[in-house]
Amino acid sequence: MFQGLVVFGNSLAGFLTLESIFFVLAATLVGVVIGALPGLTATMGVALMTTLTLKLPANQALLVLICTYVGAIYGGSRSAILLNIPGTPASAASCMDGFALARQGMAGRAMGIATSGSVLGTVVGILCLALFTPLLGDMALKFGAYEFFWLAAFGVIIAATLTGGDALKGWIAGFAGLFIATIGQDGIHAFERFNFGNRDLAGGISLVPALVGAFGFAEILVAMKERRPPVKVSALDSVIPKIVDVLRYWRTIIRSGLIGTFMGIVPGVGEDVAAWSSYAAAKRASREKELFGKGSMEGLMAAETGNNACVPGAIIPVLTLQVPGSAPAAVLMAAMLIHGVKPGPMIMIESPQFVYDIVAMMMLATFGILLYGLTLTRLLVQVLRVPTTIIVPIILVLCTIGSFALASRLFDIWVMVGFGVLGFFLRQYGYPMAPLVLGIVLGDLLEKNFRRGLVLSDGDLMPFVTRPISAVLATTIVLIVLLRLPTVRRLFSRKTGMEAA
Amino acid sequence: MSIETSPEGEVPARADLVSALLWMAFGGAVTVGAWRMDRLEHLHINRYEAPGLVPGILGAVVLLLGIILALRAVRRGALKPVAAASREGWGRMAVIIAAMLTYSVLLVGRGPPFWLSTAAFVTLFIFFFDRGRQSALGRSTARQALLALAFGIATSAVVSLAFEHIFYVRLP
Repeated sequence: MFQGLVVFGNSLAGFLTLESIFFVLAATLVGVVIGALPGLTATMGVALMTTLTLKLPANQALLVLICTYVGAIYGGSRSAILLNIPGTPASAASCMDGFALARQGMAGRAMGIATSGSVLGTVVGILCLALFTPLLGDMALKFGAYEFFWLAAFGVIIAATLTGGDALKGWIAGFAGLFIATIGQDGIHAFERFNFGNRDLAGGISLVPALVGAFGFAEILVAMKERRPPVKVSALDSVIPKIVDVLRYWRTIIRSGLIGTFMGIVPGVGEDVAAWSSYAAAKRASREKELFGKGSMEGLMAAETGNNACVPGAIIPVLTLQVPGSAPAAVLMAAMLIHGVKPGPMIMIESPQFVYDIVAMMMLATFGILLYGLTLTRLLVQVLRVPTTIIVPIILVLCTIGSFALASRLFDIWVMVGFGVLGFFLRQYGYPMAPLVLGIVLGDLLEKNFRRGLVLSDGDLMPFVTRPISAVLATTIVLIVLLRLPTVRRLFSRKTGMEAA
Repeated sequence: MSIETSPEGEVPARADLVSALLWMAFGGAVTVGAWRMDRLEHLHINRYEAPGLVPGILGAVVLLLGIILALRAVRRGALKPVAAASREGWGRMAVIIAAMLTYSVLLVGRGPPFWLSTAAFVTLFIFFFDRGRQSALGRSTARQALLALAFGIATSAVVSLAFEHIFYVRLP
């Protein structure tokens, strides 16, 4: 326990240099601005910043990325409150009450609540990160090939199911993503697959250009399609958070923080689901239910605490299992691999310091959002006025040069563009992006462990369902899929209907 | 709404059928490709290590899910005659996609220096696509062009200098 505190103290002290503090301030600002601008999301911000921080030492680069991530999830609340447009999907739940409060002339107070909720949510998440990572790391050591196979499958299935929308289309996107990961040389015999003689494709699809395409290029196309009306911002009252608001809703803060962190830990389920679940739980438990949706401070507090608590939560499985908890965490994981940091079950044994480094980075990012939450409001209002048509070409230039910068290959630009156009059209046809991207990230894990498992058992499929952890994961997947089948759903609803009668 | 969330609103059954058929073709092609792939028998490897095994299974799953989606679309009335879907706004999107592809695929790294293609792209993009908003603000064409040029030059200068001298990237 105390040893952990000492290691954490060392990590934090390591970041208290002028250079690191500059990175914290700059990256959090970039994050908040990206988060606040509708159409630009946390995933895109982290992906773009990955390409910009390639030449930095690993720790500094990850510090920048984590600050961008935390900043972007927080920044989304600004446009949710002021414009009724979620700056990132994570802030969709904040629109409900945030904008209603703004219309009642309490935009400043709403932003104060968002700031305190986000800061405290991150703190709850950080505590869980520090406490649970070693525990989950211990558990992950028991995972073998069979368990990792199911974990990868679980991530794709649950990402498609829980992100809302059409689960069937989500599964298709997820399995297509898993296939895309198998393009190029296979991990065991280096046999070239589906590359049609192309040398670049034999190396496989690089993760970061694909992510920049799916979340950057595709995203600006969506932004150009949905024309946004000009911004009108009402007058602002004080944005300083009130202690009384925090004290009054301490139960909501702790509950939402824990729900948000848990949603973060579940693979592939991101900040938006975390915010909505915290919001729904707060509504159920609240004494002022009727205010929800009409300007409830408790509702806004719950949504903002939930989505920010999800950020440290989403990093826990990245560190212990090498399975991202959310879409931005997937990019963060790709960045860790680029910088030579190998997360996974061995992390608490090989480099325990790294886990506490991440905790320290989160802590600094929290200071960053607190600082900007108190000071930056008026500047952000100006930023929100910049029209999409001016932002789009600049983001495209950054996507293009950023993808190129990774390995100085034009091929990476084509991958980015390919995934961008594909992502845009898939979205138009109702296919979600998160499972596709999670599939690309988890494809390698799934394939290697499936083949390894089969070799170990000499083709016997039984260990995939008889080992305890495998059995739990497999049963959960089957239940999730079954519950999505219309016949099973009808059966359940008829049963509950009969019980009610 | 952004790309990270699930799309809102119902997609027409006819569109679902089209995408389902494309997925079926894709899944089928992958499965056939994986089946015909070398199984490296001459290396005497374990047959579960055949490189085509996992892609083959994934292709088959996509094919199966595609069939389910197609059947669902048909049940929802994909084959019934419907009024032609509204194509409003797609012309503009086609021009936007073409402009973006021209920059990323045709210009960067193929002829004109990076700074020039970037400045030209940003200037022209802002000039043409921000025109409606600027005209509504009562700005003259000359002023709009000047503003677009200023954005173009500034973006190109900042990005080129930052990548070349701070991130040490050899520009395409």
